[in-house]
Amino acid sequence: MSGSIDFRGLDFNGFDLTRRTFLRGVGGAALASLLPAQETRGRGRGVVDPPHIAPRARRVIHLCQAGGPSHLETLDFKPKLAEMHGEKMPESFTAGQQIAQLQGIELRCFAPQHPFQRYGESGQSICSLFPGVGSIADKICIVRSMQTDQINHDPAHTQMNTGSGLTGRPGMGAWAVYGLGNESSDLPGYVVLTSVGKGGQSQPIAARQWSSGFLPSRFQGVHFRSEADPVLYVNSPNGVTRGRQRDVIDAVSELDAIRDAASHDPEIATRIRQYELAFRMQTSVPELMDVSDEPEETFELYGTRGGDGTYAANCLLARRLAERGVRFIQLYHRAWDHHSNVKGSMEITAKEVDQASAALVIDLERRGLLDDTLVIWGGEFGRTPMGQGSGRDHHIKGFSLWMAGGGVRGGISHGETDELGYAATVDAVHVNDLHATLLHLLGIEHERLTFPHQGRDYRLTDVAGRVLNEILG
Amino acid sequence: MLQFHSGGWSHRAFWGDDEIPFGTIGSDGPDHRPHGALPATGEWVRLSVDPANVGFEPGAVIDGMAFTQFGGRAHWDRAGIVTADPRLRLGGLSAEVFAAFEVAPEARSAEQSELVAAHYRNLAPALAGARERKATLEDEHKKLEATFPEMLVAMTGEPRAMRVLPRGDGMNESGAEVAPAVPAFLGTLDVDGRATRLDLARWITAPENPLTARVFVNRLWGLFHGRGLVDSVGDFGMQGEWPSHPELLDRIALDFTGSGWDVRALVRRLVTTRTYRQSSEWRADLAQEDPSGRLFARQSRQRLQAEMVRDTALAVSGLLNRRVGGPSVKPYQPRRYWAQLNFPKREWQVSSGTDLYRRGLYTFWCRTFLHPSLEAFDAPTREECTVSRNLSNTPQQALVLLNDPTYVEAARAFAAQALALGDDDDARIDWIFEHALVRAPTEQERSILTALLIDHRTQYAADPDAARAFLDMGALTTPATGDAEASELAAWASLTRVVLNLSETLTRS
Repeated sequence: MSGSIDFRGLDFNGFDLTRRTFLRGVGGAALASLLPAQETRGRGRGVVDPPHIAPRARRVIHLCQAGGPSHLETLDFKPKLAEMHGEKMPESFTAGQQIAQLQGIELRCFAPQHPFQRYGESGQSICSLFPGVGSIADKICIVRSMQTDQINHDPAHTQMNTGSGLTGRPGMGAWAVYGLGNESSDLPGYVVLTSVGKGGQSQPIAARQWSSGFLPSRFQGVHFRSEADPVLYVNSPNGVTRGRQRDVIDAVSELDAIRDAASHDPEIATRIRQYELAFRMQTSVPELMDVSDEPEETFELYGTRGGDGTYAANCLLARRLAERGVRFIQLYHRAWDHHSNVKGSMEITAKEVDQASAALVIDLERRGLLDDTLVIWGGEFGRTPMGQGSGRDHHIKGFSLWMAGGGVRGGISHGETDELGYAATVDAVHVNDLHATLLHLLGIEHERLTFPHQGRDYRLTDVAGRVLNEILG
Repeated sequence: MLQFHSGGWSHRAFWGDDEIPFGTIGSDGPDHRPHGALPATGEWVRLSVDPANVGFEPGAVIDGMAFTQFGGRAHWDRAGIVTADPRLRLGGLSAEVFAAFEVAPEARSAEQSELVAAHYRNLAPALAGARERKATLEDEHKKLEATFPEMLVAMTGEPRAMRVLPRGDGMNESGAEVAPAVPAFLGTLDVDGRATRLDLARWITAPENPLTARVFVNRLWGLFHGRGLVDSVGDFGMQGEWPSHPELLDRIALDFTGSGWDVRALVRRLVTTRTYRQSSEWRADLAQEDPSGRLFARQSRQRLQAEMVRDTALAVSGLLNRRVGGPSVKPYQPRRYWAQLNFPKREWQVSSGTDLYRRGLYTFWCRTFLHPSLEAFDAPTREECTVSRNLSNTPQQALVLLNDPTYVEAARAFAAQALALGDDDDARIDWIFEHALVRAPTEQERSILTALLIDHRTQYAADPDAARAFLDMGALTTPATGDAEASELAAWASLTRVVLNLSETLTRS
């Protein structure tokens, strides 16, 4: 197990125990200079140091299109489905397969509701509702053969994050920060942003999606909200100026330091630093959220002036977070559950996300950040080629996503579904394979990043996962 | 809109604007018949529909009626019929009662006689008093029953056939059928026929099985000492740790079962030991011998658990509501924290009065969005069983203790108590320190707090509006005071904020 720390026998706070043991030996006088740079939320190294393999990406931006976008109206064109519109879905496809809401209903083919076009020099086939994504066609890799095991939103998100539909396991963001640490000194390593769309149902998202599961809680995602207090409790109480808050924190830290000298409790030194970090967050978070320093041209690129909690505003924030060294940035756009009127809903939702998703990739690239930032655009599952009235039901056997940057080859596609867009038939990619690839790009061998829990070592990919070498640049 | 069912639902009358899309909006037919304006609000109004108007022929049988609203709120009272049919005019007599009336009294069957008598009891003015008394009693009975706590009761049905699921696939029914049992390597259950959960419970707590008591005793030990005699409190198996003191663990476990599993006695025993009552002060002689505290040669230091962090601040400030039991409460929570929930959308309704100051364990537990103040201190969502909680040390915790209105308000109440003690600053600071930390401040500690006090006293005296804004956090009203009093209280609240944020306050030492 070279390159990773064996946590067996230590409790969750392995770092602290090691440190405590060490410090007891040398006494507390040299405390400050001896403490490793490991911080609870701030800057700190991970357990994978040095990386297992040369990293291609240093950070990840997951643009989660929550609700289950239809692959058939985004990235996977199926003319045969149009031909068979209204006809019975052949049973050879559907027999014995899971179904969410269409149980007991006659399954009929439902034609793609919007035309597709060829984009870029690579001629990638993309739905014409997404000219923005089309404009970056040569930079993205489209995966058309995704598969998951979970057919309902919440467990499917859980699987997309943790590799398993069961709750209680860490998500990919938590694993990434656990493995690689955080490069930001005053922001969390894993940040989550959410937005709500106007098309489709806004399926709820539970905070469990960014939990650290059985990993120490300092690796969990922190939800940045488009509220007056973007991070919970980040604003000082009324009537407490920045100076007064500083006074209080200084007094706390001075008193803590006195106690520390007497008690040799390393938790105190850590706490002093956490108060310092908290104080810095009280400035750094508002600075991050305030986009007024962006040039007009950036607002035009993203199609937002920011500050309104929209998906586009969050895309702009994602770039600002990436610039500041945040390791894992996750956006949820709760708008894709198109059980009815997939045609109209798709128009609405595409408008909400298309321009800004592309703008993010373009903006990262021109700032030299795309090379080491992996962008993933996709939902927790796809939607049925069978109609559900005017919409489509949940679907897990085949769906699409795209990736850009971070060592992924642009202008290519990977995998195919069958002629009706039902099941991935060529180069199927399970969620576990996506995770293996993501960790690989971050410089981590997915079989070597483990954490002991309930008597065995767990991985993000658990007992599966294959790196998609075919899509690596 | 009223909809009537007779084969289908295509018989509808509606009042007010044409908004409900049953039938066709804008049409006027039996399946969508306008009946004029909305009835007057705030009073009972009888709505009548002529059957012919909504497409019923004489003799049609109506077997359903639906009340449909578009927005707003309406109370629907009883529904009935207006008719010229003499039979139906007799107060809605059922066909059976009507038939009984048509038979001469002496010719009625016993059953028919009872039907008529029952009808009489319901109508006779002479029995009005009895009826009223009966209604009152029934009402009281109902109210009494409503106070009974509801129990979820599962009825025993035919046990479901359980199968081995190949590769864990719940849709694959090809696996062999299995009966309830304990893991084979642990032996067998000695029962006749199919084993039940009671058999399992008896097996788990059997005198020959020492494991259950050891695990429980170890968990309690872990709560009091920061670590168990077996360090892996959640794992006594092959992957677990060896106990540091196996004989001790066995002895306590045996005594525990011997006492009839008396948890209270066990707690008393653990907290009265010399081991528990040791100081947690650092000892140079142990630095080599037992650096990690594995031998329990001194008491451990632990950050308080989430609920207790809250309880401590409330207790110290005098706000804590010590009531035991009762429904969950909703202390302050940032606005729109539940915005990511749906079906239905909801907003946290903050409790009021003393419910705001209940112990942390009574906080309403929303598993998908746990109260952020508790979550910051590693309270689990309770979606999975959590044997031992994290004890993390994060900037979020600092933000909570510094900025959550709960702690700002507690600091103010704490300060107000200190001010009530007299005029001597040193005496007040000593009291605050002792009250929170159970020890007197050192000279140096007192001077740090005094410096802050003097500084903020000046600042708030120059800015009484800020002092008032600060004191206005939370629901607790501050007694009406002038600028001078407000500024003084604010300065002391700065000081108590410091004390509530100290590492020592958060640590069981």
